[in-house]
Amino acid sequence: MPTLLPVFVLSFVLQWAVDGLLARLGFYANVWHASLFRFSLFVCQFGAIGLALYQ
Amino acid sequence: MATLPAEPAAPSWKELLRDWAAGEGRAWTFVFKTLLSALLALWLAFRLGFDAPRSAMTTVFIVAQPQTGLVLAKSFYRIIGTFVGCLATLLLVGLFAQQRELFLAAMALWVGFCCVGAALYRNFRAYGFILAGYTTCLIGFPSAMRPDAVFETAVARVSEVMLGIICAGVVADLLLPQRMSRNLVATVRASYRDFVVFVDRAMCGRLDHASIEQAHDRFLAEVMAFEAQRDAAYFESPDARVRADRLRLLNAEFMAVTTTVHTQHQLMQRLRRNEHRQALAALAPMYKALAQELLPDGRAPATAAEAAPVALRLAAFRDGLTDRVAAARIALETGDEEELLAFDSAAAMFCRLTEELHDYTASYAALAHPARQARKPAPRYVPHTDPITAVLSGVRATAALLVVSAFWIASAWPNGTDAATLACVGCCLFAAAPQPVLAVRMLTRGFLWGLLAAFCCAFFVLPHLDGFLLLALGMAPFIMVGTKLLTNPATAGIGAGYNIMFSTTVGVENVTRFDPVALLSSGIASLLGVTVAGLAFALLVPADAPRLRLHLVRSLRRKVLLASFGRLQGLRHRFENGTRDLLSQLLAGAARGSGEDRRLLRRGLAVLEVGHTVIGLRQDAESGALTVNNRAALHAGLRAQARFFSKPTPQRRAQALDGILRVRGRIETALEQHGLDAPERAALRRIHIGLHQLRSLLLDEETYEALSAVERAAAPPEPAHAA
Repeated sequence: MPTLLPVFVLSFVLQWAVDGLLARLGFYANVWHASLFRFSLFVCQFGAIGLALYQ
Repeated sequence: MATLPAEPAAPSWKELLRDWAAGEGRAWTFVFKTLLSALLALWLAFRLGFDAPRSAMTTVFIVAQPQTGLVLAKSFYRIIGTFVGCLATLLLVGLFAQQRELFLAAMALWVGFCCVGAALYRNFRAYGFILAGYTTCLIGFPSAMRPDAVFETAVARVSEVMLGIICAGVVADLLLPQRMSRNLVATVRASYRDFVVFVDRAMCGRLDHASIEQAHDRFLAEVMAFEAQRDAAYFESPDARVRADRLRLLNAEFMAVTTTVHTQHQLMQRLRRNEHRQALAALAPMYKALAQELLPDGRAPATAAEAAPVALRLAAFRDGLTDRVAAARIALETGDEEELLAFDSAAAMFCRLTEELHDYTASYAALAHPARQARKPAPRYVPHTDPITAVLSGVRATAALLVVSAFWIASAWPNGTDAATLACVGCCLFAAAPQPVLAVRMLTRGFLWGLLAAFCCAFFVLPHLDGFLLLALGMAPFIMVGTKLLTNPATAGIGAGYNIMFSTTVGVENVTRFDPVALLSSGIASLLGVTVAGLAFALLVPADAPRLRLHLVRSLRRKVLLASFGRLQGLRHRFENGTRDLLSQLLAGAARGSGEDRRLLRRGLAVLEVGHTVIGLRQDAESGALTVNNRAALHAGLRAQARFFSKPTPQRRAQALDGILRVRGRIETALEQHGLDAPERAALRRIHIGLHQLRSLLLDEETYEALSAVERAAAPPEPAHAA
């Protein structure tokens, strides 16, 4: 389990940056459910990094 | 009086339903959401095979808040606090693992340090400090027993906390979210509307003293609420995040303009008291004109988009104001010199008011656009930080932890860990609360009920159940009781204690143990720990002690010293913000309707008024229009005034007045000289007006009363003379 923790933290930081960028670009105005989108984005990042590192 | 009120029509069931959905409906949504996220966290923790699944559940309860923004903000700072706490633990265990006395002493110091931080910041950042202290105890004590496993314990704890946070955040954000950003929008709109209407009424002299004070009280509360909501909405909504700078600027401008309105109103009162009828008559049409610009068609703009044309009209009004003032001044130039000066200062203040109203309206209007830079660099929110209170709360936490640890070591108590951890939690959590003893008492009551519930649940309900689904169903009613308590502000403290105690002691673990004695002794240890924290608050310089309060009341007056001697860069905002923050802290602890709150408010407003005048004078003195001697005289006058504010005695008041009169004489001589260029003359006239204002403030009996009255009320009774 400890192996996933760094990935989680990494994707958290990444999410923070990407989210800020998208908000600045006004991207969320075109999204139907912004919080669902944000959450899904996080899941994608977490999954992608985790798979890339540990598969 | 004689007519009876009309019988209200019976509300339709739709209205009833809507009412329910807005009140109780929301509370129950929150209850079910919290239940869901707690059980989700517990289930995932079991599935992932964590050592202590319950701590994921406890995390959910700790961050549970009705509004999504609050959950996310708390979670964010909780993550940071947990990481810092982990690092500190690794360091402490690495240094002192063999020496339990040294280890506990170092731990107590660290917790004290975290408490100082929490008391200094008092917003969500404070929460990060609290968590840093609390996590150290949580990980440090168990791992001090097994130093070789400290790293695994730390990683496990961080993982559990993260899991809890993720569950709470996702459920709060995705299922029927209650948005903080919506509250924020409502607050912004309401404050603008209220404020504009207030300015209109106050300018036309249609408000009495009490309702003006009430309005200022409300504005003060709005500034604080706005800041808290902005901070939380930042994490919740991308919109608020993009607008963060603009919102901060808006709040700063709101603070500035409320003070200016107050000052302007005071100036008008003084004009009325001194019977300067001509000056009043010359000013009245200007007020009317401003009110017309502010309220087009007699109605305040309801949204940011509607405010945009108002901002344009205010800009046009501001540009024509100099001519307007000059035209009105002609009628007075032949009359009394004192009256002319009074008119000049009121007119100057009016110009500033117009300017600030325009800025505020323009900032408000700018919010309508999704992406745009703030009009100016937005100043940070600067809370009032009182080193004495902060250090005291640090000392309190250190002492409480040391006492519990000493007892732990002396009695070889197996549950010392629980007691020490909870003592630390209690001290950190309420380091900045206005009434910490009351808060701890509520928490303790919650703990008692939580312990009882945990006992019933663990030994009467859970033994009959098998499998996670039944476990969840069995625990649900107990969790719902605590969470429902959380939704009512009067019982929120009890609810928090109940939930925390219940989730930590109910003992859902990977391997179920049936051990009532262990449950009870760990629960009692936690209760003892929190009681020690309560005792620390009650005994070690209580936070609501008269002496400490008196110190804060004095600091409010001494804020003028900040205005007199602080670094000029950004001083206006720092002074304004700090004073308002301190004032709201004081008001939070004042009994409402006792007269104390009104005295405090009056003092705060007087301090704001004086401080802004002083800062204005200092800024003009820097502009280079004064000769070296005049500048020295001005600074001497300001110093005399500052001495008065550090201790208001009649003698110092006379000295301050004397000093100001002397500078005023010098400035008048300088103004009579020929060969001054226009900017120099303007600066000199501004200084002249500023000195006049400062002098009339010092002469004002009401202001003097406001500055000395609170001490008399708050001071401890004089000791009787010993014979």
